[in-house]
Amino acid sequence: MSSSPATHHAVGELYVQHHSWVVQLLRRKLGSQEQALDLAQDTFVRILTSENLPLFREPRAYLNTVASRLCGQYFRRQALERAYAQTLAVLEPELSPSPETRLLVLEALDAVGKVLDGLGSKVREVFLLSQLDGLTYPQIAERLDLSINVIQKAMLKAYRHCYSAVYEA
Amino acid sequence: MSVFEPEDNQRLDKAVVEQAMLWMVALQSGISRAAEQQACQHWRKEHPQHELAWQRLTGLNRDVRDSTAALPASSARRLLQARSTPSRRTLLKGFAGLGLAAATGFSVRERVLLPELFSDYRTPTGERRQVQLAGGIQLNLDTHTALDVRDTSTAPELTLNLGRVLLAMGAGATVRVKTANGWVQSAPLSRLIISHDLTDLAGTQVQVLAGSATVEPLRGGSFTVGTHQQVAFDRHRTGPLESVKPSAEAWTRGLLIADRMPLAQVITQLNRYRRGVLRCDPAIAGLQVSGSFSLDRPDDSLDLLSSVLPIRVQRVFGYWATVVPA
Repeated sequence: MSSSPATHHAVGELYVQHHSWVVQLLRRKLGSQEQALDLAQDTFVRILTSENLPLFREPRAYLNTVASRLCGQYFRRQALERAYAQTLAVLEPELSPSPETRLLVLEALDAVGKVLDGLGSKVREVFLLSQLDGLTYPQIAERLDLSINVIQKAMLKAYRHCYSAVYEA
Repeated sequence: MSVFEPEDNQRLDKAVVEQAMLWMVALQSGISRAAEQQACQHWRKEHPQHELAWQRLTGLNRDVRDSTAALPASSARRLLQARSTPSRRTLLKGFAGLGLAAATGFSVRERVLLPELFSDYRTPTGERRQVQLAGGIQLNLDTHTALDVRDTSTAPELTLNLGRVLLAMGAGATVRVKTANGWVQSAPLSRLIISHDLTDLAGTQVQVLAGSATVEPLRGGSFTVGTHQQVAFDRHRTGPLESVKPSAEAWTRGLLIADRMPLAQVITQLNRYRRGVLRCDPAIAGLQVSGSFSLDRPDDSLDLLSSVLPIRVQRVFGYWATVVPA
């Protein structure tokens, strides 16, 4: 986390000049002023705590990139929460996990999801069938009607992606 | 939390990482040959960088597994796909997939989400329950158990879908219990424990504490199990008759009694009573444990274990925990 006084100052300037622009941008995407304010805040925090001090020559392009990425993450988190809520809806209350457990399950799934973000759904499915279901490549190939060769390539792609998400971020 | 965070900050050659991934993909295929596995071992030993790259990849695998371990694999997969394609259609598809998993009796074991939606009596993780049935039959349901009860004209018929139950028969009472592997018929005045599909016990186990029971495995035949005898069976084979340990019903009092039990087995049993994921480092799995431990407070039992053994409990959020060498 690099938050030297110089960075603080630079981000402070950025905030003063572009905060309302970022809020507007986010409100268009999210359709809610409240959410837009929240995510705008996150956007500046993200910049303040980022490892690499950004080049501020094109501040709005940069802010747009960061805000859009957060927006995407927000939508995906929402989709995940909705899907999980639907799953829980069919359970009887006594079987339903506690709110803390739910949050932990969601946080954990979201963390996996973020690492896999950017992979195509087919590659993701192959990777998950291998890692979560423990299927062999021939089993995955049969299930998805693909060749074993394609499964191997998809696995390699998924590993490259996850590795760089964790170690080259 | 340390999930999906770099485990070290060493610089690794890109080509080394690439080679490690090729090995990983080859070895996870399920069709790799022994020669390939040996070659990979050899490659890992060639250079510390090789081993480090390998460890990073296995760390990734572990994080993916741990972070999804609270759900059945199929549900975690559907939810992750739903997350990445936030459209209504996908959400509904994910939903349908879960229904299917429940209907086909997907094995859930230690997971939080129980798809055994249709059982009449269930106990969530960490709870036990007593049920009194008509005709003088008392049931004691262990943690994470799912049981159906159907009244027939002669005697009640139970179906044990998952977990463990102690049955105590009154005078003149008999009961027929079905599992996926066969039937168990108890004699009047008998006491027996039936376990099915536990994490540390595949198949069905019958332990007769008093009286007797008749076992009819699905694949045919039938035999009697007498007092203090136990037997395990599944669809393919029936094990030998063995004698029941005196500690067999300790769980009904919330106790795990270990008599020179391997640590891994103790951990597996505690895990059934604890929400979340509990793992044991293979390096200490064989440590022998003797003593009695609370099943109702599994975390206290873990702390007790770590005070008497050279082990340590690493907790992430208190939800995942790994028992490692101290």
